[in-house]
Amino acid sequence: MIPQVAAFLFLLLAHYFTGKGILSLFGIQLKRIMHIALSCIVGVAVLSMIPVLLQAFFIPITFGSLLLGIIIITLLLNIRTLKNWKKWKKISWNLIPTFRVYEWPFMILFAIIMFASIWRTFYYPPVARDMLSGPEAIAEYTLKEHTLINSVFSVNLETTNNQHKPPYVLGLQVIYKFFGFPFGQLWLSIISISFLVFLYQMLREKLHPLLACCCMLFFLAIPELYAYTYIILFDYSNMIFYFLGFYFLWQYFQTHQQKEFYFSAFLLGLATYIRADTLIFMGLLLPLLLFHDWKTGVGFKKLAIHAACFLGFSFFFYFIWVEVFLRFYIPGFDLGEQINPNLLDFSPFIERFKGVHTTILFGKYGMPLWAHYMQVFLVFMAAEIIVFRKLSRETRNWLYGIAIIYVGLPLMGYLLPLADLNNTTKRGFFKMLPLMLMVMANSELLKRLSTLITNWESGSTPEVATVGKSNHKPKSKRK
Amino acid sequence: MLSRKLVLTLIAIFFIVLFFRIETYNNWWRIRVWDAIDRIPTQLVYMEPEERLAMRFGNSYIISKNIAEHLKKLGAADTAVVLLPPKEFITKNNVDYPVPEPVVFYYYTGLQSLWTISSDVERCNYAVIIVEGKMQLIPVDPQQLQQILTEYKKYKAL
Repeated sequence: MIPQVAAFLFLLLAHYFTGKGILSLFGIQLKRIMHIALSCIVGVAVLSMIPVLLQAFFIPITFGSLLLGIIIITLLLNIRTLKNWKKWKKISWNLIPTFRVYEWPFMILFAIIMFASIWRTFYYPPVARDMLSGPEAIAEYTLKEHTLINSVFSVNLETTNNQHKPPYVLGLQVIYKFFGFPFGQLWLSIISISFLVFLYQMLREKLHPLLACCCMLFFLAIPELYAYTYIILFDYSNMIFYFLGFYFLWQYFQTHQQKEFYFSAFLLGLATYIRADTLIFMGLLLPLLLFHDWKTGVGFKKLAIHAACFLGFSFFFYFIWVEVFLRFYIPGFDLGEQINPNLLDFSPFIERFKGVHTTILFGKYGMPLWAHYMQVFLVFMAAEIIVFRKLSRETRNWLYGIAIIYVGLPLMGYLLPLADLNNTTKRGFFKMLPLMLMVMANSELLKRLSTLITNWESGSTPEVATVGKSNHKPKSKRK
Repeated sequence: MLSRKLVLTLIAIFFIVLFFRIETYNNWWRIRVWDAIDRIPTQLVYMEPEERLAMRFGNSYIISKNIAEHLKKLGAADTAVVLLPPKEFITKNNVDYPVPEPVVFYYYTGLQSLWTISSDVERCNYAVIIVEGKMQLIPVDPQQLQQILTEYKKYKAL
């Protein structure tokens, strides 16, 4: 047990410092707790690439080579931090966030809920069929044969294409298995808890902590989403990076800082690295960026550079995996087989769009999957439109992100027939959920309630107290 | 101010209680969260990876491992290619063996296997059959394999 704890702490620190190095390269500055959470998230994705890099250079995958790889990458990404080692003395090591007394009942509850998730992640082996017939099986035999191209490829694989899935889960499973966790998986707890911490801090910036806690509980208790905090697959991680990419894009829209734009593109690139089909959503996201740039008077040259960079990260990750690694290293891959050969027939799109409503979002599976989340979101939307009759700029942005998923998933089902309704499409909707939470957190209803509670708590007059950040409107250069 | 904070704390507790009074969330809490915590003391007794795999996958794992053990005893583990019965056939014979697909069977056991729908099914030299409601693993020659396949192909493999 002690070696496992030591190994886990080492990996946790490695994820944190790797992510911290990346954030420092992009010059991203955040509140301390958000910075730590985001570093861990980014670090998990970056370190997952090590086994593939070793394979690409024909280096046997062993505990030693992985350890060395992790150390080298972590050090390389932190050269700047190491150079400024004298500043370390000034760092405050008070890492535990402080909570107000009324947050504690929620924090205890969240801890219990996530403890159940962590235990399941640790105790049980991966269960999803997509894992057992792909990344998990390959990772298990990598442990024995020290190569990703192992004897699993000698088995009849006619009933699966999971061996061709991106290397994100595979890489992490390989690392964690070599570090003494027979079923890997604990990286999922790191990334999911870090994400929940980040999300809570976002809510806390907008709402009174009591309301932020209520929203968080509402989000955490989405049955299907919670299940994927302990079932390893691609979709939960993909949701995290899509959401964070979108968040930093919104930050860029507000502050016009290029570093936030590039970091957003990088995060969305990681989302594509985790699920290659995110490329479809990137294409749908591009008009938002172009519209913003055009509206704020960005010149054509810069606009073209932005568009290229925005898609560039995603294309890079897509190209490296699909066009290089799958083509030259992994046997038996043919992308052409996976694309709908009859693109002029739009009936699969209409069918999928219908199925999404009648089966997934509101049909017989609606309640077991999402509990009351969809209905409450619609109530908030109705209140915004009918009662308050306005949608803030931020809300409109989040709504755009939701619309992309809402239309993009049926579109994906039409383009890639293997993306079925009850699995791929269903889990694809995860990407909408945190965006919906942000729409609710930005609603006039919650904002007013939040101001009311803050005023009452502090005993100040309504005019004096404000809650959250003010909506900064960028000045348009175009007149 | 402290009294107001205490009122907010009471509101927080009240909200949590009210939230879990809603049937959907109450069920979620009981099944997904509390049940998982409740099982931990029992699970701590079974910490070996093999035990955890057996707990998770049940007969799918246990029977597959038994097949592998049997072939190892025969000294045929390296050369054996096992024909797995169709799922529908297994269900119809009331046998509790959720048949894994070949790659999952390999993950469980390290043994090669095929389904009746596999294009190279002729490679099989062992077959899982059911005799009087009991599963058996038998070596097969090409002729016997064809006879078994004729029977198995009446059923859906998946």
